Amino acid sequence: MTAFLRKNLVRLLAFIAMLAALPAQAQEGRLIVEQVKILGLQKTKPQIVQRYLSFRAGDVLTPELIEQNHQTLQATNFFKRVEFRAEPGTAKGKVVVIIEVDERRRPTFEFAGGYSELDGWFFSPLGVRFDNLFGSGHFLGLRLLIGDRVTGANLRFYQPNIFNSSANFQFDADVLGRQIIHYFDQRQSIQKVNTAGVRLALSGSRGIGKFLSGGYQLYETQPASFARFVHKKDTLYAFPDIIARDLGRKQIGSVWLRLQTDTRDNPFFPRKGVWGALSIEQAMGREAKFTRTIFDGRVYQKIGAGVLALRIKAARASESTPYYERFYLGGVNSLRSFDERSLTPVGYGTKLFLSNLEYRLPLEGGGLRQPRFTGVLFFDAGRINGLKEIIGENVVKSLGFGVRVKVPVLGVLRMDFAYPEKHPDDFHFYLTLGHSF
Amino acid sequence: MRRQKKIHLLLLLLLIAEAAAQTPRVISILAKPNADSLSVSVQLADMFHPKIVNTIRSGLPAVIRFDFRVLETPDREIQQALRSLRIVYDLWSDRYNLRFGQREQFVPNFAELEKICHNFEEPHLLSLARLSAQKNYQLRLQVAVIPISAKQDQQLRDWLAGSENTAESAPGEDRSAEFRLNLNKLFSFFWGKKERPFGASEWASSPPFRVE
Repeated sequence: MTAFLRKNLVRLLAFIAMLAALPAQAQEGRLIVEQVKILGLQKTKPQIVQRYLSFRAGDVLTPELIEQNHQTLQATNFFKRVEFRAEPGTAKGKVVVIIEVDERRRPTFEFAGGYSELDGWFFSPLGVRFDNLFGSGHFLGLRLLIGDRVTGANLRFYQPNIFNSSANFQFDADVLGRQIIHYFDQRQSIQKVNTAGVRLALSGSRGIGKFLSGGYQLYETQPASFARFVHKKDTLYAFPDIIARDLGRKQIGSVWLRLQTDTRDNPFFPRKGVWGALSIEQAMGREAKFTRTIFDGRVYQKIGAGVLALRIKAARASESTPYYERFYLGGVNSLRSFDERSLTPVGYGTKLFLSNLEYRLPLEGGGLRQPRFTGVLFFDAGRINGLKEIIGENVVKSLGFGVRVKVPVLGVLRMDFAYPEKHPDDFHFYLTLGHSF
Repeated sequence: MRRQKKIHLLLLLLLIAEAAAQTPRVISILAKPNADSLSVSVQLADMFHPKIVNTIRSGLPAVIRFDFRVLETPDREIQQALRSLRIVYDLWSDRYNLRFGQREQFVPNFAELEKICHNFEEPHLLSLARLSAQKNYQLRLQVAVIPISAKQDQQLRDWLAGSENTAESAPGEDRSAEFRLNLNKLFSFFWGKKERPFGASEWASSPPFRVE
């Protein structure tokens, strides 16, 4: 009896597998892709275009699927024009999809700008990018950076689908002069730290690989031996030990691994889903040995007419971590209602916890998909080791409200008004780009 | 040799004629008041290039986009009105479905479909309350036939307003939000040759009209 069941179960499974393997047949009301023709390619290999398509011969075809693929191909920046059209296939319901493209032959020149948690406002007055180098789908870009607290250049090479796999390779080389903010006796000072280095990264785009990325980075840092106070133009030469030990040229080589997930329904205004990452970095060089672990998780859920968004960031670094690789607290993308990094202890922190809770209510235009004007109520709470010595408390909380306005070119412009929980009269106003998380 | 040259010339002329016939043509536009609305009648030609016909016959849709602009004469644009007509061929019932806003119509063959599309009527283009009885107006129109989805008709406006202009870094990294402006597109917009959207007609104008 058992043998009979086992034999028939095997047959049943084989039958199901055969059904699943059969190409989709044209049924009434359903269109099936018979063939995909790509016209207009001169330097780009057809398989490069095929990689970006989410349908193949035998798949069910809908106008929505074509719209989606059209957007994907346009976003590659490989082509000046992409047009999808069709021809009837050899049988009723079968469709020959024709993709006609006009290749971009010149590199793209860019002007960019933005706000970075690390470097403040920055601009790239000129950047040049080759999105489809030699027609192989490789990206090569070079850009100059000038900003509040950064000056330098970045070279990036990106190769999707290396060796025809689903893995992607990225190489970055940077030469940067960064300004690090310190607070000594609640006085803000700036110290210049020059860095130059390379970063190699591998990430996946399909299967289990899309949850994983990792790489190696090697860079050299050279912090200045002094810091300038911002308001009174005096200079500090005698740094506390925790900073002084990391002065001088240092070469840091580290490997890192990141586990990540993204189930958000819309990356620009998520209504539900999760975005998160756990990253571990281990520096193993002769001049620096340290470990850093960072967890950053974000949850989005539609409630009523708006969206409730929660972010939790927890990070830990070993005591041997150089101060410029440690954590900070305070500022527009951290804990609002305080100046940038003003809640950070001298020599920066090794344990950080930060949570931001926001209720985002679309007020005008585009509904929940792409609102043009959004009102926000928020609550931030955070702690970092050494916080009690700065503010007399272990946890700092703040409340506030803000608006997000979608504007041409810049994207989302963010204005936040934030109040510390203990001193509601000490309000801060922030103007920056993008949602807070 | 001379005969070969003649054949080449003929082929070239045919190619030019074929290229000219690729885009729709606006024959006439007539705007007139209709109760409290401005109504418009448009006569069109060469609407269906073989590429569009093939797309429709495969069962996928095609969209005819009408871009109307109301001008206060001599040349001040005061209003834009966009209309779309979606055409789908139902392979299994062998009939064509036309959808214009909330209105829907079925036609049994392509000749009938062409007839309807070549004589477009919109009785409520815009409210007359938006226009002054003391002024002269003119209506301009550009028609484009777009295979499958109107979203294939990329406009600079979409590119400028696109949310992808703000990119954000991965979680766990120091957060950064940035915008990027493609200078090639910007320069070609301001200083480049003004090209018509692909598959679009030339702009055509109605005779001047008043709404009194």
